[in-house]
Amino acid sequence: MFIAPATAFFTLFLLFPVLAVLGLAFTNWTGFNLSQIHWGGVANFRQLGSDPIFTQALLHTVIFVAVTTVVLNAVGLPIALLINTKVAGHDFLRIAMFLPLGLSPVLTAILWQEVLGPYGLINELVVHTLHLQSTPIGFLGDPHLALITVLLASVWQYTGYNMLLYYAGLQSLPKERLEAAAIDGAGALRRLRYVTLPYLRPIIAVVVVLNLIGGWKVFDLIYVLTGGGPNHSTEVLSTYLYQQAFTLNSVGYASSIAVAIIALATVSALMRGRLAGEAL
Amino acid sequence: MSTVGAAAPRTATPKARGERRLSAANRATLSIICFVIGAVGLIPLIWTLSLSIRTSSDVFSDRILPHSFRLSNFVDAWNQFGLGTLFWHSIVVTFGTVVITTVLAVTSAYGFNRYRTRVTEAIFVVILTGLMVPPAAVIIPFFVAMTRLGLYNTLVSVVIGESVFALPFSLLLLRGYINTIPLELTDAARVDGASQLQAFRYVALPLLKPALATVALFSTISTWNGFLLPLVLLNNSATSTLTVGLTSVQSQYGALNLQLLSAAAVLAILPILAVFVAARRYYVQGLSAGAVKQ
Repeated sequence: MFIAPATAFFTLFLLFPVLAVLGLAFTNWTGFNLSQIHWGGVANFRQLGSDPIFTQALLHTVIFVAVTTVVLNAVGLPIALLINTKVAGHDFLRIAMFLPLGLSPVLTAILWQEVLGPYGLINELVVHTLHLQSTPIGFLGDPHLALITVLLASVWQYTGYNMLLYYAGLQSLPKERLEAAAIDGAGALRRLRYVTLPYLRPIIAVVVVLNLIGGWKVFDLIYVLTGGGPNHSTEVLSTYLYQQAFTLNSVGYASSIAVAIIALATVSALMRGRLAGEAL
Repeated sequence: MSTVGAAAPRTATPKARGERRLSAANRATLSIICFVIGAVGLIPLIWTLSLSIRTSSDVFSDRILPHSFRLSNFVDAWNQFGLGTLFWHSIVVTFGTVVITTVLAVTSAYGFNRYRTRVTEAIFVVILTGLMVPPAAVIIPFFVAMTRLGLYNTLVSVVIGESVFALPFSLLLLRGYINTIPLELTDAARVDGASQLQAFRYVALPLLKPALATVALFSTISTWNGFLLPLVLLNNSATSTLTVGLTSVQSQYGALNLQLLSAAAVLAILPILAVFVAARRYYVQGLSAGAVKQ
């Protein structure tokens, strides 16, 4: 009785769509007219294999997920350790890291556009203050720079997430172990290496998987910041899916891109299942 | 549930120990690093704030610091971009989503806790897999379903979508919390003649209040910041929700009226950051609980 409403709601609006998209991937549906769905077999998947833009989008998605996961942890953990020293300024740093988490990826994209745009802070500094270059740097317009810019904005937004999780983990670190190590003559770095990091290892594993799961969901930030461009240099699977489905009306083909996204997300899900050592 | 979050008693002892370990020079260095990283992190917010109060000519001059002060940018942005409508739509969608998500999550969390069979456990696990589903992957069938139901271009469709994506995490949080409270009390109420519903309403629900605040906060943030669903489900981006409306403003005026776009961004940032900062304790607890339980 208590479970039924949520179960029905979930089945109808999430489980059913997941199953439906798996089916639609095998159709050559174009447009959204229901009478025009025709079975297409594995043609869509063959097309994916020979579509250079899909290959790029897949590559960028994997790069995005891998780089954000590595950088968020490589930056988030040291910042959590720094805040945990409780030196003057640690509260300021914590607030500065925390604030971007409350913003929508859309606002993050707008903020970074204003900082990095042709009249943005960085280009004002480079062109007019320091005279390093006579023309503005095309952070978003240069195909070689755009993906890095997108990664930077994403890391800016989510560093606080990792910081909070690691900081919370550090609060439960048994102080006696650190004390004992200190009495035994271990310096700060050795205590970090032999006490703190081993204690945090299971937390690091969980945070890494959370970052992976979050990474596959990327859409808003890239859609607003670059729209996947210039020339597909920041195209990821979700932006390509959106373009195929809602701009070009290739609904069946877009569904096969959705299957690719689901397959990648499932791999992370299985990893999490193994980590937790239980059903999920 | 909040084992990690709660285990942060800020007593003076660990702090004092920490101070003893570091020399004054080291502490000063670390402090400087804290301030530098924090300041760099705040640059995008401060820069946008500084643009939002400038005149047009000041924005496009080569000055870093503002040389003008124009508060009427905020009024102009509000009127010119129809921010009133956008705000109102975001408020309606967020409110609807929070209500639906919280009701569904709390009833089902209670149900999953009270009736443990292999079937209910399996259902629970299936709903949790929803955490993993990227919204873009199911947006096509969802869009088709909403069109067929005649809900396309209504705020209701956005509420349904945001709710179904907020449900798994809310359920996870509440299920974790519910296991830590003495629900045997509801059995006692049943023995005393209360109906199932009464036992839930008058015994369990009051005990769950703190966790409900966390759930409401998380669904508020995710819905207020949601973008893909209103983008696809509402046909006019200029009268959509705040996030979609801002992108429409940005593509139309971003190049020419940077100060007005900045003013609109600042207006959009203020309310959500106010909620976020005021409720940060709940946010941190929910984050830790979700991570630990996962």
